[in-house]
Amino acid sequence: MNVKSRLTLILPQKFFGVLPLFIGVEMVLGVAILNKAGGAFGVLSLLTGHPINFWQWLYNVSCLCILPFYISALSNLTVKFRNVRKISFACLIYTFDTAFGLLYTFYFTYFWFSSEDTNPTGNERRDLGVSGGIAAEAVQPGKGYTISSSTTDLSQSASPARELFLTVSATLITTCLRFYFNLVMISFSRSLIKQYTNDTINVNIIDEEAQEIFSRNTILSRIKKAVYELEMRSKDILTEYFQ
Amino acid sequence: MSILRSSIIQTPYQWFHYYFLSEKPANVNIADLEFSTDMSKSINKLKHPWKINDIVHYSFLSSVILFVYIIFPASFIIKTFILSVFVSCFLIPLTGQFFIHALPIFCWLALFFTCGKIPHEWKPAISVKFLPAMETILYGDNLSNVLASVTTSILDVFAWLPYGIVHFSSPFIVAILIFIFGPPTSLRSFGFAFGYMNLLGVLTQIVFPAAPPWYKNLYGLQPANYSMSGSPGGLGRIDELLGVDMYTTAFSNSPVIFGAFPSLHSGCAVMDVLFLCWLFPKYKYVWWSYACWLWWSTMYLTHHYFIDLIGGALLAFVVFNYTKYNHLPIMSPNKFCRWSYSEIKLINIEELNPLNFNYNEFIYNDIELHEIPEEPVSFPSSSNSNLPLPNNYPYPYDSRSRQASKIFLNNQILEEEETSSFENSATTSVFDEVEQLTTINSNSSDDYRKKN
Repeated sequence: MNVKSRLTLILPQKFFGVLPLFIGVEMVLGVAILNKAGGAFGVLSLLTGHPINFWQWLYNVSCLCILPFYISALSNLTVKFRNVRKISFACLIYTFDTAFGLLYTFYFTYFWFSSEDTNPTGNERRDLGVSGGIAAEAVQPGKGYTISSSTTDLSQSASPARELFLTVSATLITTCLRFYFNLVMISFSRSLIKQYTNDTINVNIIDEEAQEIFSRNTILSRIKKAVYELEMRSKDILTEYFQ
Repeated sequence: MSILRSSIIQTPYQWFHYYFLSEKPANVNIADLEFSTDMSKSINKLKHPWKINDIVHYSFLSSVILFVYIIFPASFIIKTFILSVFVSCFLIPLTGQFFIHALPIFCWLALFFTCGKIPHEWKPAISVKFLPAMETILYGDNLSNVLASVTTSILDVFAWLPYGIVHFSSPFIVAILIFIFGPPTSLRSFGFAFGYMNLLGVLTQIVFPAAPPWYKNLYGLQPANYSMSGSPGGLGRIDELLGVDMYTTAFSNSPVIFGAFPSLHSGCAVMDVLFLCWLFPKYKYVWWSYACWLWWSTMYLTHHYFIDLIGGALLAFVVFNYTKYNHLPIMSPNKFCRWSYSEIKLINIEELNPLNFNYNEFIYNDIELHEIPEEPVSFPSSSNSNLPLPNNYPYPYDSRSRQASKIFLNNQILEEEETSSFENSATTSVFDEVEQLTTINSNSSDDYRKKN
């Protein structure tokens, strides 16, 4: 049994076994868009001077670059004809993003446990970057924020073992969910492309949006042209793969 | 009576009648409000057969109210009196039409303000490391620290506006807009979605207590306990700037000090934004800008990690989608306001499902409709192109003008209204400019029709 046959076997026909796939794709893209928005805030470290390394930079910039394509796919999910190429492109990006994200999850897990989680009783002020302003500004001396004897009661705080268990299990669940979401995207793209291909087999369709993009020569239309070509290429790749 | 006839009352009423009530089609009462105070009407409604959804809905909310009733530290008489007043408000049709659908919101508020009274020994252990760990593992860094590294008075005020002011007023504004410009029953959906989102959020905060970023900034990753005071985080600087104690005391004595996850500031903002996008899709970028602004301010003020914001936003997104597919009526793009509607339609998932589209049928129907005999077939670039335009459709999609809704009225009613000096629907409306812009934007659809 080859990879394609195995993939077909595990592709979900319903989202979580209950909901139609398109609602699943709506949810998957919505979650992806919200997550990728973090890249914009991460990039703001350029303005705030908060130190981040090259890999963090790369991660934030990649989130920002991917974001418009997910938004575009979600906006066109139920728009006839156009949704085929948009979803195809989003599906391919999502697949690469899942693989890329898995590597980053390994790296950031190592980063947390090696750099951040090494001084559980330390003061956060040392980590506050150039100005060190957070604690200094947030803590109002004499207004009840100092560590008091009440903090010595450890029974109400999660133990290190519980914290570790929560962190590891949440990371694993998130990763598994991501793979499942990827399968939902692939399954929906496959069904959509098959239906589109069967319905339009003898019809030559002209996309007015494409005509409009190709008739202009501005910088924006060049970008749109490149994106359009990528979308069409994605559609062709997936059509060929699924047939 | 003379007060009712005075210009203070009459002018706004006439204005309201002119812009909104005059939209109402004849013999249609779906937008009307209930003014009866006869409790027997409501009691009779209770005798109707109940659906499983209703039973689950009211059982869940009743259990929350019962829990609050038990733990609320007041005498039995006072608690029973408050509860009976509420029950009366539900049973009187005049008030009940709002109270019943706002029940999830009341449950959330009751639980939120009472959860500080839950005995500490009942509460789960507080997590201090989990959120910063997940933030770093999923997003590469502690984004709250990234944004709060530099603080200035201007940024403080810029962050305070959405977090401390707009957040508290926006649900009311959105509710009013939905009531006026949404189809009838849409406000119920907002009450349901907004209430459940907050209620589920507070329940999560109680079941999974976690320390916010200000805690890490103050105490590092040291163990926490429930006797600790809260902190206003960056809002303490606003109190200093304005010279008043608006937030310091309030946040120090907050009922949910370790309720970082999920962020209900984010949840409320995203819920507002989703409903506004549904109501006025043309301005979706404006609405989402507000959500991004609030997210930034929340992290800048060290009240939440980014993962909390995503948690709140996801909760809002899921609850909104459930509401959209089960309760929320379809917005008609050419209807002006609540009173323009003559029927209420819900989403048909099967029709909307792209996997049920018949592309072939669309193409050939389209050819037939526009009498194009030869190939190739082109399709328009309008975002609504999944719906073929009727031949006699006089208004572009996304048009929201008072005139547009009048096409559904019969000529006689139109004539009567147009001859009235005060209710002339042909007069330029506040949305005409929007309509003109929409006409320009929808040129591709019009071109398509003209070509064909």
